[in-house]
Amino acid sequence: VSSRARFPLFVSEEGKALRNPLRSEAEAFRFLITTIIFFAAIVGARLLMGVIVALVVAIVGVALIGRLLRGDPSAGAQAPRLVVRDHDPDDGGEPSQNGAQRPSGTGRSAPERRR
Amino acid sequence: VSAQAAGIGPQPAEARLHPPVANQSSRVDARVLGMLLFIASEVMLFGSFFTAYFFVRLHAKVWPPPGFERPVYVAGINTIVLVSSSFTVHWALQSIKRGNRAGMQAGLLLTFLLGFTFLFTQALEYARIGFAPRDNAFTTTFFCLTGLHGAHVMVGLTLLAMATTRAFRGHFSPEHHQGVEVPSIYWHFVDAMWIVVYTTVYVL
Repeated sequence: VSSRARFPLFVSEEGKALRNPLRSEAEAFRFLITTIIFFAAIVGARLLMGVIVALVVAIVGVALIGRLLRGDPSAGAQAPRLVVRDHDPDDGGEPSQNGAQRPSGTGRSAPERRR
Repeated sequence: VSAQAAGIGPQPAEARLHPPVANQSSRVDARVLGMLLFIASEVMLFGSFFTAYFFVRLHAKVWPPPGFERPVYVAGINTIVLVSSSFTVHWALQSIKRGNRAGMQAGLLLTFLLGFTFLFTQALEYARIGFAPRDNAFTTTFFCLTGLHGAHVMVGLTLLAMATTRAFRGHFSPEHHQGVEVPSIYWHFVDAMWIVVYTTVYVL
């Protein structure tokens, strides 16, 4: 299932998902710097050109930050996707050693479901 | 992973003494995911306080009410102190990633001291500000927003104190430093929230 189908509100038209700005320390630090620049621009606009211009700067800034946060959907998914493999034998025998394996994050294996 | 390790089939007596390994369905590390969920709830908490602030402000004829002066310059210096602490905690994490333990220890200690300075200065300002939360809606929202943020700085200082203690005990290495990274994410979030609070409450 693509990220666009799961989270349609957070995906741009180009199909790129919004990145979580606090996913790692480095990204959180960049987010802080962006916040400082953003609010400095709003304050500067407010003091120099008035409330209306400050409001426009705020709206444009939010749009720009939104575009900056649209990155490659696979950027945040560094761990490989896990595939469920059912090794339950057809003849009703005991599952093989491989069949008893359960990759993390893929739910219960066939032998567990029978319990 | 064997069948026994996966919790399937007969288990040895030793294995039955411990709970099975927790299933992790997310691709995000559980500790990082916990911090992200916590921060998400914090954003909603701050959002409710900002909603109250803007509601009161939009209904006021004059803002702030006459006779109520906000300590803009002291808070500005406090802002510089807090933003500096984000740079030092970033330095601490970069240091341990490169194997520089002394740099990490110095960075974490400096971050803690800067955070403590921020909180101490804010407490002093509260004592000398000349108005109280019960005076009117402006003072209530002022103390609520700045006090809520101060409480978060207190939590951040607690996390930093734990990380600093562990750093001096040699718990972190270039391979294992999540105990520094998770408090750092929280600290950057607290600093970013202060930029929003300071700009909204003191400057605009």
